[in-house]
This record gives sequence, C-alpha cells and structure tokens, in this order.
Amino acid sequence: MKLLGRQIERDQSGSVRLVPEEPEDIWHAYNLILKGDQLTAVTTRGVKSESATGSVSTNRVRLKLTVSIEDVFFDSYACALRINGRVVAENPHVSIGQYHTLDLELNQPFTLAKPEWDVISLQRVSDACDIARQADAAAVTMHEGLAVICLMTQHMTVVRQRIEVAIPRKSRGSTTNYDKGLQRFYEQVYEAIKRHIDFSVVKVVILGSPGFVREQFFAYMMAQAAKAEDRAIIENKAKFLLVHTSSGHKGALEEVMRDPQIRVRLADTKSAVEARAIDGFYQMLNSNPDRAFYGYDDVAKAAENGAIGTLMVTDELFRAADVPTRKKYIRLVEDSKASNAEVLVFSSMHVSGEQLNQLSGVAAILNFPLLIESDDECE
Amino acid sequence: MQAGLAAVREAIGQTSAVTDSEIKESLWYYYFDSDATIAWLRKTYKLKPKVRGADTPFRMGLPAIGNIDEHEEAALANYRHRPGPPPSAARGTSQPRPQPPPATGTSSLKSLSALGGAAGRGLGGLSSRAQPGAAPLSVVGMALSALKARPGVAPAATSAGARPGGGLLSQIGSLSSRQPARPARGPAPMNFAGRQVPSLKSMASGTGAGRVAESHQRQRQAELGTGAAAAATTTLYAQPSALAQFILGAGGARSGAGSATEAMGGLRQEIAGLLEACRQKSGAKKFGFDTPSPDDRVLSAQGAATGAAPGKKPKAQPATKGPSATEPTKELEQLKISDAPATPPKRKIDVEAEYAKTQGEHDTLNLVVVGHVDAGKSTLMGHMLYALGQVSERALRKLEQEAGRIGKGSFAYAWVLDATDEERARGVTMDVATGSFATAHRRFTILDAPGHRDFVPNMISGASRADVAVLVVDASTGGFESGFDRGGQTREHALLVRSLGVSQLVVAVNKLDMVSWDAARYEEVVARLGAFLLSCGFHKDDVRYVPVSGLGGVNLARRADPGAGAAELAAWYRDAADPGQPGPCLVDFLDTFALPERAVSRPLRVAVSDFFKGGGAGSVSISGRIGQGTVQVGERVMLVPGGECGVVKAIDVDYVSASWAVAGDAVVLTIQGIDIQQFAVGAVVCAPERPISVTARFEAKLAVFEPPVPITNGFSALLHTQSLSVPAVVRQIIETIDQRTGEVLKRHPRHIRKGTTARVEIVTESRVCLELFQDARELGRVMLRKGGETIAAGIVTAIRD
Repeated sequence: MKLLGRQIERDQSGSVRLVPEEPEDIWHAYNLILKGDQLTAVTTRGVKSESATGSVSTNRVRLKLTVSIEDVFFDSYACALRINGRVVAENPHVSIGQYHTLDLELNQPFTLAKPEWDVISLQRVSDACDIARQADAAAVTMHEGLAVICLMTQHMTVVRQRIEVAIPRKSRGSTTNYDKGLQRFYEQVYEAIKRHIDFSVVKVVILGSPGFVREQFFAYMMAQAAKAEDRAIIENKAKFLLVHTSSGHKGALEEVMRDPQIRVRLADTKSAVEARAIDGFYQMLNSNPDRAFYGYDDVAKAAENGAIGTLMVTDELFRAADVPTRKKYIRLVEDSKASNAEVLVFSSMHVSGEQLNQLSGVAAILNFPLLIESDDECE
Repeated sequence: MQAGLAAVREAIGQTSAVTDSEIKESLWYYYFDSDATIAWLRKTYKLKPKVRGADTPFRMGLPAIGNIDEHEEAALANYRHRPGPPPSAARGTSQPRPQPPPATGTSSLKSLSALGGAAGRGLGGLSSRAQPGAAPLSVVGMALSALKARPGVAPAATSAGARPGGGLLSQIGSLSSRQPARPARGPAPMNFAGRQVPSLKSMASGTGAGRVAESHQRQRQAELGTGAAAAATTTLYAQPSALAQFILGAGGARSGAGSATEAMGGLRQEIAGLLEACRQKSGAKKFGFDTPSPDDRVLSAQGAATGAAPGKKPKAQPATKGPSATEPTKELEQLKISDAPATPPKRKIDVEAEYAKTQGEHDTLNLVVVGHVDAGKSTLMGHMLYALGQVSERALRKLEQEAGRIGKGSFAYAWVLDATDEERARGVTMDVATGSFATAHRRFTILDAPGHRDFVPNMISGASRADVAVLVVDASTGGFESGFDRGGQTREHALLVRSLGVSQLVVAVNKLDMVSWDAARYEEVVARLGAFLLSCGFHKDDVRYVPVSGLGGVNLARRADPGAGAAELAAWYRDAADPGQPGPCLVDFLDTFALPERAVSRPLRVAVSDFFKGGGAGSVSISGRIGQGTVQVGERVMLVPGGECGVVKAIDVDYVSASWAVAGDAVVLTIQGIDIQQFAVGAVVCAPERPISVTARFEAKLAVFEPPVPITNGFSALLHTQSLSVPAVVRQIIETIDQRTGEVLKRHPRHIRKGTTARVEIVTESRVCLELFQDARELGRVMLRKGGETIAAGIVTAIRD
C-alpha cells in the first residue's frame, strides 16, 4: 500500500489517502474501513438522463463518489472488497442520499475519512505501507486423498484449492485400484501447484504430510516436471521444503510453523511470530495456568493489574460493527501498551489467528501469576 | 342374479355394512357362485375396518395394474420401488368385467397378501397378453383369490409363500408374458377359457399353487439355515419350474381342448406329487390346521403394521399379535410369515431368524491387530495365516523370493498383508490390511493395523470395525520400552482400542526368541503392561498374555513343542490346568474369545470405510462393517449424508457372496441407484426408515488422555469417528465430571487437563454422521487427536442440530 496523504486532526478525526498495490492491501483496507466511515474513490455507475423531449437514456459514467459506509464485504479468495453506502458528497450525476456500491480496485487511490483514527487503525496503515517485503510462501498440506494448497503472505493465509480424491483402500489380493487412485490424486495436486503457485513471487513452498506422502509426491512431481520439461518446477526445486505434519488438513499449518526448518526460513514473518505466541500461551497454560488467561473479562482484569506480558488480540475484534465493543478492545490494547506489554494483533486470516478467534479472540500471557475468581467458579 | 343375491343375503345376514350393490358386484365377479361370494364377503367385511386404518408405508397392497399388459416390465420395476401403492388400489372394489386393459380378479385381493398381489398381477399380465379381454384371466385371478378367501386353506401355505412366492410368481408372470405363445410343456394343460363357473377344483389348484410356494419357501429357509445361501438362491429359480409350467399351461393352453375336469384332476395329482417331493426335501411338516388361519395372520400382521411406530421396522414387531397365536408362536416366528403382507417385498428373508439359526456355526469375530511400529504385527499375522493354511506354500515362496531380492528376507510373512509397493519398499504397514481365518470355534476377520504414529487414523478406522484385539508388543531389549514410553503406540493403541469399545484383548509378547525366551523378560513385560492396561479400563480377566515369536512361528497356531526349536519356551511356559502340557498358544486364546452381543434388531448402520466402482454399471461397492441391524440382497438402503436411496444388489461377507448379513459382519455391499459422487468415506448406509443423524454440533463426554497442552474453549483438533477424520473445535467446556461418581466437579472450567472427564460441546468443520452413544455404540464414539497424538476419546451424549 502506498500512502499518498494523511490529514489527521488533533481530535483524531481526519482522512488518509492510500493506493492498494497488491491483493493483501485489499485485506488491509478491509480492516481499516468500518461502518460509518466515509470513502472517496473512483467508480462507475449507470446514470439515467432525460433529454428535453422526455426520452430516457442510461450511460455508464466513471465518476468519483464519496459514500458513507453502511456495509463492507470481503471475498478472501478473490481478494475483492465491496463497499456499500449512501452518497454524501455533491455530484453532477448522483444526488446525495442515493445508495452506491463501490468496488475497491488495485492501483486506484481512495481516501478514507474516519471520525476517529484509533491506535489500531493507525498501526494498520503503517503496517500496510511497510515496504520491507517478507517472504511469501506457499504451503501444501496433504495426506492420502486430501491436499490443501495455501498461499501465505504477511497477513493472510489463503486457501487456493482443496483437493479431495477418493482413493480406494488396498484390498485383498490387488492394489491396482489403490495405485490408480493415488496417481490420480498426485496428478491433481501437481496441476494445482502449477496453477496456483507463482514461483517468481513465492520464496518457499512447504510440502507437509504425515507418513511418506510428501516424499512420494515430491518424487512424482519432479519426475513429471522432468518429463514435461516444466522449467518453473525444475528450476525452483530448492524452494520446496518437506515437513512432517500429522494430517493434511489446513490446521496442520500450525505444526508447519513449529518445524525448526521453517522457523529459520520464515523467522520474522507475522505468521511465525503469531504461531510462536499462541504456542507460548498453551505452554504457559499447561505449566502455570495462573499466568495464561483468555476471554475478555479475565484478560481485562489482568490488564487492570498490569500483569500482561504478551497480549494477543485478533483483528476481527476491531472490525466489530458496534463502536463500544471496538472501543473496549482498543482500550485494552492501549492499557497493555502503557504497561509495556507486547501487543500482537493476530491476523484472523492465519491459522493461529483462527485459533485465537476460537479462543474468544483475546488471550494473554501474564508476567506474574494472578488468581482470579471468575464468576462461573462461584456457581 | 336376484336369486344369488337372496342366497347371499341369507347367508351373511342383513349386515348393514354390505350393500346390495356390493353383493351383486361380487356375485357378478364370481360368476354367480354364491358360495365363493359369501366366503369372500365374509372375509372382506370382517377385515374392512382394519384395512382402512392400515395405511402405513409398510402395508403391501395392489398397485393399479391397468398398464401391465403394455409395460409390464416397467410396471413391475416401478412396483418394486414403491413401498406403498395408492390405497385406493389396495382397497379396490370389484371390477369384474373382463375388458382390456383388464382390471381383473386381483381386485378382490384387497386384504390379501403380497402373494396374491404379485401373482394376480403376474397372471394378469400373462393372460392379458395371451388373450386380451377374455375370461381366463379373471378365472386364474379368482382361483387365487378364492384360495385366499377360503378359511380352511393351509395358513402356512398362503403366508409362508407370501413374499418369496409373490416375487416368484410375478417373475413367472413376466416371464410368460414375454413368451406368450410358448407351448405348454407342463403337466396336464388346463383350459380356463369359457368356464363360466369356477369349480372347486380351480380353487384347489390355487391352493396347490400356494402350497408349492410354501414348500419352496420352507425349503429355501431350510437351506439358508445351513448357510448355503447362494445355493438357496439358485434353488429359488430352479425349483419353481413346475409351478411356472403350471401357470404357463394355464395361459398358453387357452386353445387347448379337453375337459377341464380331467385337466384339473391331472393337475391336482401333479401338484400333490410335487408337494410331496418338496416336503421330502425340506422336511416341512404337513399342515395340521392347528395354527392360526391365514386370515388371523393377516389380521395380526395388519394390526402390527398399524401399530408400528413410524420409524420402527415392522419386522421388529412381535410376530404374533393375533388372537389365536399362542402355541404355534415359535413356528411362526421361525417362518416369519405373519407380518408378510405388511412389509414391502424387499425383505424377502427374515435375517434375524436366519441369523438365530446359524448361531453357533457362524460365530464371526473381527479382530484388530495393534501395537507399536515394528512390533511385528504384520509378520505375526502373516505367519498365522500361513500356519492356518490361508496362504499357500507357493505364494509364500514367491513372497520370500521377492523379499529376498531387495534384501528383506525376513519381511516375507509381513508381505502377505503389506501389499502396496510403498509398504513393501519401506517395510512399514500404512493401511489396514484384512484377512480371515478360522479356529475351531470361531471365524475371524482380521484387520492388520499400521503401527506407525502417522497412520493412527488408519488404525482407528480398522479398530472401529473390531470386536476383539491382539496387542503385539516387542519384548526385545529396548523394543518394548520404545513402544511403551510416552508417545509410543503400544500405549496409544491400547487406549484407542479400549475407547473404541474393544474389551477383550490378547497381548502377544513377541520377539521373545531375540531374548532367548527369557522368562524374566516375559514377566517384566506382562507386569508393566498389566498395570497400564488396567488403567486403560481393561478388565483383568479380559486381558490374556501369550509369549510368541511371529517370525519363528512359535506358539502361534500350535503349542510350543520342545522339538521344534522352542525348547526354552516350553521349559517354563506350561498349561496352568495341566502342567504336563505346554501353555496355550495364540490360537487357543483367540478361540476362547467371548462373542459380543450383536445389535441385530436395531436399524441398519454400515459406516463406509472404503468405496469403489464395481458390480456392474452404475453400481458402487462399499466396504465396512455392519454396526447394527441386518441387510439382505434387494433391500433398499439410504446413504447419509445425502439421503439418497439405492438397492443392495449383492453382499459379500468376508469376500464370499451371501444373500444377507447381520451386525458384526465385515461386508462389501454393492449398491445400485446412488451415484458414486455421493459416496464418501465416513458416510453411513442405513435403513431408510431410520436414517442416522447428521450433525456439525454435538455434546460429548470426553475422557482426556495426556494432551501436551490443556484443552481450552476453542481448542481445535481433529475429530475421528469410524474411518472419518474432520477438523473440529471444542466450542465450550460445559463441566468436568468425577469419573467414578458422575458428579459435576466444576462448571465451565477455563481448561481441562490430562486425566479428567468432561462434558464438552464440539463443533465440526463439516457435517458428520453421528448418533447418540446409547443408540448406536459404533457411531456414538469420537476421538480427538492433535499434532499426531490422541488427546481424548469420548461418547456422544447429545446432538445439538
């Protein structure tokens, strides 16, 4: 994302002008744009005009509109963002108060005005505009009959394809069906890798599986690539990392992040940091349950006591539609920061973020044990 | 007509239920035979209220048959698929006028069994083809109906023949209609054409037909009883040829000359002879008129059908609710005839009764072989199969050669079960292999599970199909420890098989030859394992230990023989009862496994563990174990999720074709009518009237093992049930429970740690087939795994949506 201008007043109101440059920036925009904000962007609209004689004609007009946002929809697969709202600025074609739906486009600047730019939003802008590119990675987790192909960027893990092939089990006397099924499965995974992974962008491709599937598949893929002289695969052979996971489901990415090999390669990526943090939380819960809290109420109490060492929050909470909830969490983040805690805003698009979401969206590792009497314990 | 009406009125009394027009109609139908009319009316109007009320899907009636002459095949097919024909058809009043398309004498069968229906239809098709619009049809139909109407007719004859006979007759009917001009080869061709008044003899012939059907039925059941199901099927088609000929004769001989009386006489003789022959074959008893009449049986069956709860299988109902069913109950149940008219024709065989008969000969057990990787499971089982003659000498030599070629000579026995290239190349079992063998009193389907930790999902798939287990442990130095220490699969597998409901276990202490049959080592292993297995929940008496060598084949199928290289073992391993003898071998233990109770009478459940195209165009074969219920060829089954229905075309029990199978059997079902795309591992084939529930949110009682981190709300893991694994989240921990007392310890704890029991709510990523544990054991068990470790096992206590 490129920051073109920023005008924020003392009362935290103001606007920011940005250009999204790659799909991930759309995700950032999704996290920035909230109901009630005003968005100005170029868009097209069918405009009806009536001539003097009374005949009506409709033209598609490209025009700049400012809308007051009522609804935001994000499509993670296509990385598209649609924003619906009422037009608020005067315009030769559209009258104020009419509804319009904007599609946020790549490389088209937009201006976002908020009544209040909070810490999280500002942090998001600076994150989005951070040009230090981190390694983009692709990951294929598989077990016999199932493969999930994901692309991992700094803030997102997007499932590009999920392949499920029914492989007949080995039966008495014959393994032909099994072998055939397995071949069909490998073929599909191979095709999907070619289709979804752009080796000019991706720095590393992780193949994770239980048993010997990854090795078998890797051998198959290299043999096929050699046969078909698929240079993209042959030349990037070194980018493939074979990692053990316990299953082929997407959740296995969490195990991938724990693998020492991967830790080295993806050490500073957000997903690796987040995975480590959530791991740390569970370890702490295991060894010292009084130092690992989750759920807003418990964590807020810990924050009151200034006990929080690491605060983990998912960005989903800040996209909350109602202002008080958002404010509540923002206050939690600010309080924690004030007490020198490390604050990690998890991307809900990563596996670890999904996990944190399940864990009520907020968790904390405390610096010292705290005994809290949660309400339910009194029951 | 008036005279007939008066006679009938007199006979039946001035019953208000019967109107004059009805009487007239039936008189017309019976060609003014007042006796037949009276009999029919009596029967009909006695039944009437029941008939009206019994509009359940199970009720078998007569479909409208107007189109039979044109599209008989289609109509028949359609008929088979339609459990409940329009009540109006079943209830049909007489339409006696023979006109094309003939509505025929079948109309009088409204209260009759499927036999009458199918036969009437078959005959209808036959004669309508043969001579449209002519009388014979009605006569033949009437002969049958008269047979039904006559209270004195052998009851067993009618109803025993009812279902199979019905199918048979309809088959014959369609057969003959395809060849209408086929000359009569049968005994004494009869000529019904032109007969104005049906004589008693025609009724007698009808009775004969029923008797023939009965005899066939008995014979079939008797044969089935001996387990020769396939043979019985053959008999079914081969035997009735005489009957077919009779019917053919009836249809084909319309132009034949000769006195009908004479013909009937001949026929009677023929049938009597036939009957005698059949009786001799099957040993069926002559009917002594001491059992309830067919009417009683029809009544009771209809009562049962009406009273059946919507989801309940009618056959699960007590067979005899009838008034006069007291003493002969046993025989009735055996024949399972009384509810015949109430069930759709798909249930040809009363599997429960068949199963009960074969008990004692057919004691099948599913045995899973578990243990840590490289404990020697496959080698041990391979050697067992060889020792018990399941693997030929030649096949073994071939395997030895192949294994020797890649320098893995010792793997030859394991290769009996490890069949894929990958497994052989790596020397590791990856997927469950199956085999079978028999001991003196038991038949075993073995499931050789993989021991490698990465393949535990496959092991769960195998173990969920097992009744009993053999736990193989490596007793060699360091071998036992690596499997038994934390993270070893000896522990995990033992926990898993116990959580999957296996309570009987034989521990094969393997590779003792590597420690020169050291008794001390054996004792050590037994002691350490014993303590652990008790903590897993195995009962002390249900766990037995046996020292073996899988590779050497010592103490597997034969007791240790000092002469056969196991002198060291024989020296200390003695029979407890008779110290003069060497101790019992593995097979001795297997042979004394107690048989588990099979939930035969519950609704059918077969969890799909594998599926593939097969058995003809559009058919899909699934393999799995019947968790509960019964299944037979021709039965309609439902696939869940999806809810599509198909028909079972073939059943293989343990790779041998069969016509039925019961709970506990490892089967391959060939199903027609459901697209292969609908199938998935983890789907369940069930009884259409009581399908399994599909849910993505349920409540379970979990026993937490040793998870590396505590389970919290929102804890994500993989849920395993049967052969399925699906990502799931522990949405909420409801409460922790004291394992012994069942008392609630703490509500909504923040986390649960190892060793606790808790009630939790689980949400799965996709909808899975699950059932309450109390309803279906197999499908009510779940397992949670994470990061390659089993962290909890539990049972489903509530289904939330």
